[in-house]
Amino acid sequence: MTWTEAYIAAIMADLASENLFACRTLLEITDISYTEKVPSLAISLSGKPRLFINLSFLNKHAATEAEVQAVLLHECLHHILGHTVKYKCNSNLLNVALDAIINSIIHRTYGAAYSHFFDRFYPKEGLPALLQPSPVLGNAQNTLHDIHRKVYAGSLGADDLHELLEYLQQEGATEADLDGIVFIGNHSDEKVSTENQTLLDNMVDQLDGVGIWRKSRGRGKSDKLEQEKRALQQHHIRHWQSGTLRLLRRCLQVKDARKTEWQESSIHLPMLSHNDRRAMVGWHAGGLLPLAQHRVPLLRQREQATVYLDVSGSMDAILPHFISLLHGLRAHIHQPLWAFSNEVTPAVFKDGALQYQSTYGTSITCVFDHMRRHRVQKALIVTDGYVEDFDASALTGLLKDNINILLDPDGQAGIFHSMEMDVFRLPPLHQ
Amino acid sequence: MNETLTQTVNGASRWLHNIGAPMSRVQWVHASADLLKNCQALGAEQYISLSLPENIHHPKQWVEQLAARLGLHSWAAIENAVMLPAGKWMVQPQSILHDSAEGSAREQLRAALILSKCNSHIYLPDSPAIFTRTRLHRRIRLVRIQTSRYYDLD
Repeated sequence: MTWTEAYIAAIMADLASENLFACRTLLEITDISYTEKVPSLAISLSGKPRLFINLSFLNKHAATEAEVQAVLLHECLHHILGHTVKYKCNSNLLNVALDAIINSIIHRTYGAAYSHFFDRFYPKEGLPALLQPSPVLGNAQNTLHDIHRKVYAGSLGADDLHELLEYLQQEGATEADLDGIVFIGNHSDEKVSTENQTLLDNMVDQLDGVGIWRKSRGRGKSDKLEQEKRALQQHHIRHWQSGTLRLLRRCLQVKDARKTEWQESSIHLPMLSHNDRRAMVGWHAGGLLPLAQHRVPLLRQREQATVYLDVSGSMDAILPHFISLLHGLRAHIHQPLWAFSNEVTPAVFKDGALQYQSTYGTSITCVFDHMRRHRVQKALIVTDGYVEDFDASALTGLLKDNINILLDPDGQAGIFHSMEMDVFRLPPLHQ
Repeated sequence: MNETLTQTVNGASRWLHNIGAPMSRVQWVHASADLLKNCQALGAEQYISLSLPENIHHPKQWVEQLAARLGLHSWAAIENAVMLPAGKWMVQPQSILHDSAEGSAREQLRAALILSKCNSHIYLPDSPAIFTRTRLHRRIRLVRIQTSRYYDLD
């Protein structure tokens, strides 16, 4: 990517407008100088705030606007968190620890789109791997993995910096081991003027501390209310899961007679069981040995449901929720899952994401054709109901009772009701 | 008989003046509201999105070229030619690309100008136009909230 001075200025203006990490004040009053004298970029706060940017560094390493913003935020955070004032010594070990904390804050708060820069820029082995968000390569039992996980999960905050430094030293890391690392931003122990320190203090006051400090300050909304909202959402999610599971059970079919699995089943025997307390009470009360329920594993043919998921354009907003729902229930779903828009294509879960193709149109008749062609007797169709009209002839050869429709909370049920098909509408996820 | 009971809930003292009613009668009701879901409070709305070509390296130059195709060769001419929504609007992200995204050059120019003046929360016609890919890629719904009608139940 070729970044021009005007484009960088626009990205900075955008960053200031969004006020990420309360950095608006600093960015708005900062003069920009483009120079090759700094290796990456640096903010000088000894006099009037000045940002030095090495444009060739950005052209070489930053691929997107988010990545340019990540580099700018990295430098701003050094000053906002007071690293330049707090830590007087300047060593590579300290720089690794400080940068690891800052990169983890950016990763946690703004995600991979921003932190992808660090992912590409730093190696994934050894101590420098702490500077990037991907898991460290090598032995997973290594303490470095544990430290990396804790840093990027936010359980090792800036307050625990000395622990990280101690670890680095215990592992025998020396300055020489870290000589090759290019640190982003200004790592010299430059002074901050009194006016600029006041400016930074005001910026810290504006931060609510979420994602930075362990105990954030509630600003505008209380933590308790947030917890209640989360609990309410979990309740709705459980409702979604139970409703969908009920429908999936209606659609279970043996797909391959050779595939078997152990399933827990209950049988009644004239023998007491600790699972059946009712029988135990009956025995104490009546003296007769009752039939008690026993749970035993039985080898059965594996039953799974065929699912057709609407991936048309109108589903864009709700689709991530449906994918998450189906991913959680994938043990009951025959793979591949079928995605439909104007055509039916296989969709597979890979690395926690659903890979599918879509034409962004919606026609449900292709689903019925697919069911006939593949002799699918029972199916669950997940849709928002905004589909092309179809008539009874589209269902020829299929049993309506065996087709279950799972509808989005705001979905259109009219066309399915007119065909007397079973529709289960999910409750709203956010109330 | 008329006792005043003190209960400690989450470390905070609460006084119950319910004359001996058991704790089970204390009910917690949580209210939440969303301006954007309250139809009474919603005013005008506009859907804005732009289909920005992937191979564009400099969004501002692309907008200038778009304007030049319409015979607009300066920013003053562009601002005179394009009618922007007046006043403050709330920005709500959308996932669907609106039809106007691939409309005429004039529609695209208008969408680009509006998006350049929106951050992720708000649109202000007087804010500076910032042409970044992030801004021009947004698919948004501009909404006017009429707070005076929020509690109107009729």
